[in-house]
Amino acid sequence: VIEYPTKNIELYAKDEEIAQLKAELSQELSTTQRLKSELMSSVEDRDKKDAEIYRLKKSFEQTSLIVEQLFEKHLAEKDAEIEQLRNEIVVLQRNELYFEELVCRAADALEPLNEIYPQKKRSDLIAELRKAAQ
Amino acid sequence: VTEFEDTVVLANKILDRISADPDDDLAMLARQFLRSREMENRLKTLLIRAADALEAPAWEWHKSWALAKELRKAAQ
Repeated sequence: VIEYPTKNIELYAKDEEIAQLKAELSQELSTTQRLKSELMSSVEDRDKKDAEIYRLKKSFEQTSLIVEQLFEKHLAEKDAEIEQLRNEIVVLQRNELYFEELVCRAADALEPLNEIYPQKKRSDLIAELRKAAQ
Repeated sequence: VTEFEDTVVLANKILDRISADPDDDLAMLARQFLRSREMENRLKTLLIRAADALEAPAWEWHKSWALAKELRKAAQ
């Protein structure tokens, strides 16, 4: 019967245990490195997205400002056009009233009794008619 | 005169531009302006005819009676 030394057997078992622990540690280290790499990548992505969001916000603010300015300009132009039209309409309506009154006076002068219409008055009216029609 | 002509151009431009919305304030004003302008032109034509008739020799005065009627109708 061969008798192995007890001490050697125990050392052999320890070596095996150490080798197993080393392997486990190595695996853990590998997993940790992988997770760290993923985390770094995730942080980079988040930073990129934050930067993109910031850029988009700035761009939106600038666009809003431009749109607002354009809208105000458009409103100002429209107000000016309305004012111009209103002023001209007032002038035209005033002219219309005057012209109608002149037309009535001309009709009076052209009535059947116009032979006795005073010559001076007739000349003045003709001049006024011509001036108004210019 | 130039400002008036500018307004004519503006009114026509407005009516071309906002044909999709006939109740637009601007479109209504533009139409009103063009109508008033048309009326003014019509009255100016009558004024010229009246002046011509008043300057006509006495033997043509009978022609002016019809014009007098037309003028009264226009001024109504």
